[in-house]
Amino acid sequence: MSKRASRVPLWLSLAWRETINHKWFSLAFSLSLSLGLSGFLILDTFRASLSAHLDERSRAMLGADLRLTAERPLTPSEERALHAELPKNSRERRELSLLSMVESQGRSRLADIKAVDGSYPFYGKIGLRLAGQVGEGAALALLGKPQVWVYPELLTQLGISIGSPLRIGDVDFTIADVVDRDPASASMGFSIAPKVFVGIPQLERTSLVAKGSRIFRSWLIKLPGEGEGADAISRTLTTALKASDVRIKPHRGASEEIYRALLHLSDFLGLVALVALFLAGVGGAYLCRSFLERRSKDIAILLSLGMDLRTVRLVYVAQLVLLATAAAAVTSLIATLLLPLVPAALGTLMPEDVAPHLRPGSVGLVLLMGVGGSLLTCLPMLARLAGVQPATLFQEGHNPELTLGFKHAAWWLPVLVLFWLLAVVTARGLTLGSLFTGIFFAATLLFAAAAWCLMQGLNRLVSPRSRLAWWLAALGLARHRIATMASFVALALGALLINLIPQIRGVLEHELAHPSTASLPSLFLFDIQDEQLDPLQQSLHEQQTKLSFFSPLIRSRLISINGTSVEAGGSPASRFSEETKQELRRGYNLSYRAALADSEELVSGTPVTPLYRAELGVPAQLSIEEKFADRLGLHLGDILRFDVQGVTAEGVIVNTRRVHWTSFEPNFFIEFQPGLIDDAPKTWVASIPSLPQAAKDLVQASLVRNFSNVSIIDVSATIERLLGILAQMERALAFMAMLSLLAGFAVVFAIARYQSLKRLPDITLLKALGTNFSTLRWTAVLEFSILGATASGVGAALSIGGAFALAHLLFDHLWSFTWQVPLLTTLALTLSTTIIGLVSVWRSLEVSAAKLLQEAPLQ
Amino acid sequence: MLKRLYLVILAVAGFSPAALAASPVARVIFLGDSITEGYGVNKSAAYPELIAEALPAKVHHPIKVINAGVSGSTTASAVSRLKWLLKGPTQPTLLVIALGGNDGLRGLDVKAMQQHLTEAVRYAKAHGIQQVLIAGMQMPPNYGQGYLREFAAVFPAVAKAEQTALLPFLLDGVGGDPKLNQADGIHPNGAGQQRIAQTVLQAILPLLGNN
Repeated sequence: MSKRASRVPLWLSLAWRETINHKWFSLAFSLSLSLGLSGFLILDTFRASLSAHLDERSRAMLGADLRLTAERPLTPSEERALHAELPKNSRERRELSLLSMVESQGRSRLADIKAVDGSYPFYGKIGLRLAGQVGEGAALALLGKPQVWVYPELLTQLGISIGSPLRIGDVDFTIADVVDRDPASASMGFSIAPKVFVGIPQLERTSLVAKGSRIFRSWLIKLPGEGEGADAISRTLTTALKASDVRIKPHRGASEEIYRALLHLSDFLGLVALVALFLAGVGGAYLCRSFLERRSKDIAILLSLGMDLRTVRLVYVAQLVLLATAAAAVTSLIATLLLPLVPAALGTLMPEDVAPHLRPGSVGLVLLMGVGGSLLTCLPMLARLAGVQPATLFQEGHNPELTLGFKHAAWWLPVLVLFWLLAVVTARGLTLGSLFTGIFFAATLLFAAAAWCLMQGLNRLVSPRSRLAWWLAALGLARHRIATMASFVALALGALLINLIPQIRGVLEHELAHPSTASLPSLFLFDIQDEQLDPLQQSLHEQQTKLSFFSPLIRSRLISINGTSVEAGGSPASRFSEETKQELRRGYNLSYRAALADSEELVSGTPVTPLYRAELGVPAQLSIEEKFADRLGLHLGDILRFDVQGVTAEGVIVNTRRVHWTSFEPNFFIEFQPGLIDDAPKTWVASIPSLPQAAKDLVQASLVRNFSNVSIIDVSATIERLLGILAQMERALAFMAMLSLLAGFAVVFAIARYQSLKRLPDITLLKALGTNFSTLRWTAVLEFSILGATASGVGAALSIGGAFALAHLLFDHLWSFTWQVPLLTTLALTLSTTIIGLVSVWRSLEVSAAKLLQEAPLQ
Repeated sequence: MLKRLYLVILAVAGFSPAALAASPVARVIFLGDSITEGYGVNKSAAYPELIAEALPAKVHHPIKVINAGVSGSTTASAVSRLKWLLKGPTQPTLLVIALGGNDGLRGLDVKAMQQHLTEAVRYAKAHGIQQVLIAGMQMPPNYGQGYLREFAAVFPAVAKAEQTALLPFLLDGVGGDPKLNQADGIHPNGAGQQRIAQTVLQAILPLLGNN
C-alpha cells in the first residue's frame, strides 16, 4: 500500500479519492457532460454521413469526381496540363455526345448519341430494363458489337422495341436494352432528343465523327481515395488550361440548382453541428463552473492543511480530466452502440441509404472538447482559487460562489480561441465558423447584461411587503447573483441555439418546397407559333389534358441601361466582367404577364399594373428576376431599352421577383407588363402536367403529327430524379433539426436540474424555519418560471436576429419571419424549467429537514 | 459631291417611320435566326449591320437595313414575323430569308421546312416585295448523310419553284472553321460575321440593281 502511494503523486491520489468519495456527484457530472457531448457526436456523425451520401449522389449525377467538357479535342499542351494537375492514380475515361438522326423501319427521329467507353459509369448505376442495375464495366458489351441502349421514348417515337434495328450514320445497330434509370439525367440539363448509348469504337464506324461535326467531348476523372479535393482541382485546372471553351465541373456542380441546395444543406448541417458543439460547450462550462464552486469549501480545507495552491489546482484539474475522459468514453460507447440502431428506429424520417458510422475524427473531437473544453472553461475559475481563504470555513452562511470580475476576462480568451477553432473545424468553413462564434459570444454578453437587468428589476419590483412566495423567489434569484447569471446565460444560450435550427430549417424548406407531383410538368413544349396556341390547346383538351403553363417568348436585344449603351466600350458596360458583357450581347427572351406566376414571389417593389397605357407617357413596367438584377447591378427605377425586332421598347423596373426553381416551370429574367410588346412576333413556351406513361406517349405522338415544328422535351424522369434528391434533403433537414432540438433540451434539462439542486439548501432552511409547503412550492414555481421565461424569451428573441443574419449571409437572403417557433420553444423551455425546479423542491419536501441538513447537497 | 450631301442630309434627318414612308429609301429585311441576330457579338457586328455600313458606298440610292434575326427561330415563324415586319406603308425592296438552321439542328421534318419557306416567299411576293433571296444552310456531318442531303436540297428546291434568288450556303467559308466561330462551334464570331457580310453583299448587290 505504502509502495503504491509513493509511486502515485499526491495530487492524483487526492483527485482519485475525491472522485470516488463523491461518486454521485462524479456520476451526475460525467453523465450531464456526456449528454451534451452525445448530442454533438450524434449530430456530427449524421452530418458527416449525410454529406458523404449526398456527395455520392452528386458523383453519380456527374458520373465522375470531375468532368471537363469541350466542343473540340484538347490540344496536346492542354492534355499535358490536365495530366500534370491530376493526382497520381486518378482514372480517366472519355465520352462523346452528338445529335444525329436515327432511323428504323422507315421512320427517323433526332437522337442524342452518347458514346461511352468500357469504364462507364465510374459512379452510380444505370437501370436497364433487361440487365437490371448495372455499374462500371457493363458498357463493355457496347464496345465490340453494334448494339445500343436507348431511352424508352425513342421506342415510342419510332414504334419499335428491344431487338429492333436502328440505323445510326452508316451502321445498323440492334437495340439491346432500354435505359429506365440514368443517374446523369438530373445533371446534364434537358435534352431535346432521347439518348442512345453506343460504344466509342462503334460510333467511329458510323462516319458521324468527321470534320465539321458538332461533338461534345467529355473527360471524366475519378480521383483516388474518396475523391476529395475535386473543387480545388477544378479551380487549379481552370487556371492551368486557360481555355474558356473548356468547361470544368466538380461533382458538386453536377446540377446548378441541386448544387446550390447542397451548399445550403451543407451549411445547414454545419450549423447544426455548431449548435451541438456550442450546446455541449454551454452545458460543459456550466457544469465545470458549478463543480469548482461546490468544491471551494474543500479547497479551503486543503489550503488550511498547508497544501500549496499549485497542488490544489492539480487535484481539481486531474479530477476534471478524469471525469471529462469518462464522459467522452461513455459518449463514444453510447454512440457506437446506438448509431447502428437509429436508421431502423427512425424509418422513413431517416434519408435513404444513409448508414451513419462513427468517425475516429469525431471521437477525437469529443475527447478534445470534453477534456480540453472542460479545462479551458474552468480556467477562469481555477485562476480564482487563489482567492479562496481558509477563514471562509468559519464564516457563518458563507456562500461559496467564485465571483468573476472583468479583470479576469483574459482567462476567457483561450476558451474563445478554442471554440472558434472548433467551430471552424466543425463547420468546415472559416466564414460560418467565425460568424457563428461571433454571434455566440456577442449573445453571451447580451444575455449577461439581460440577467443583470432582470436581477436589478426584481430588486426594485419585489420587497418584503410583497407576497411571501414572490419575495422569496426574487430573493433566491437576486441573492445568488453569479449563479443566477450563469444559469440565465446558459439557459438563454440554449434557447438561442435550439431556436436557430428550426428557423433556418423553415427557410430552407421553403426554398425546397415544390408543388404536388400531379401538378409538376412532364413535357416542355417550345417554339409554339402564335397561331398554333389555340389549336394546340384544343387538341390537348380532346386528349383530356391541358397546358399547365404557357407564356409568350419575344426575342430582343438590350440597347441601353438608363440611357447608357451596353455595347462594348461604353459605360455601364465597362463595369461588367467579360462574362457579363458576353451575356449582355447574347440577346434576351422577353415575356409579358400581368401577375406573378405561382412559382414566383415579389422580393422588392410593387406588382406591375395590368395594362400599359401609352397615353400616360411613361415607360412600361418591368419585373426582373432578382439574381439577374444582382448580376447586372440593376435596381428599381432603372430604365431599360430594348430592340424588339426593329422596334424600340422601353421599360422601368418596378419590382424584382424570386423564382422557385422547384416548380420546374419555364421562367424569364425580364417580364414586361402587358400592352406594349404583345403584338411583337413571338413564340410560346408551355408545359403539360404529369401524365401516365401511356397517355403521355399518345400526346407526344399527336403533337409530332399535328405540330411538327413544336419541340418537345420529356422532363418527367429528370424531375423525378431531382425530386428524389429534394426529398432526401427535406428528410435530412427534419431529422437534423429534431436531433438538435433533443440535444438542446437535454442540455437545458441538465442546467435546470443543477440549478434546482443548488436551491435545496435554501429550501431546507426555509422548511426548517417553518415556511409552509404551499409557499415553498409557489416560490419554486415563481423562481424557475421567471428564470426560464426570461432566459428562453430573450434567447428566442435574439435567435430571430441570428437566424436573419445567417439566412442573409449564407442562404441567399432567403428569410421569412416565423413567430411560432420562438414562441413554442419559449413556452416549452419555461414549462420544462419550472417542472424540473418544482419536482426537485417537491422531493425535498418529502424528506425531513434534519435529514436534508445532514446531507451535503449535490454529493 | 451632291450625292454625298444628300446622304448626309438623310442621316441628319434620321430614319423615322414617317420619313421612311415619304422618302424613296429602299428597305432590305434580313429575316433570320441567331446568326442574323448576331448572337454573342455586338449588335453592330452582326452581318446585316455590316452590310448596312457597306451599302452606301456600293449602291447609288439610300438603303435602310432591318435586322429581323431572332435566336432560336425556325422556318415555322417566318410568315407570322413577316406580317409584323410588313405592317408599314412602304414594302421592302428585298427580303433575305436566312432561316432553316434551327429546323435542322432540331431534326425537324424537312418537308415541313420546305412548306414553311414556300409560304414565306409567297406571302412576301403577295405583299409586293420585289426581290427575295433565300440563303441556304447546311447541317454538320454528325446529323447523318441522308438528312444532310435532304436538308440541303430544300433551299434550291424552293428557290427554283418560287423563282427567287439563292445564296447556296450562308456560312460559306465560315462553318466548321474554329477561327471564325465562337466557342460553341456554330455561332460566328466577329470575323465570321464579316465573312458572311461579304458573301451576302455579293449576293444582294445584283438584286439592288448593282452588278
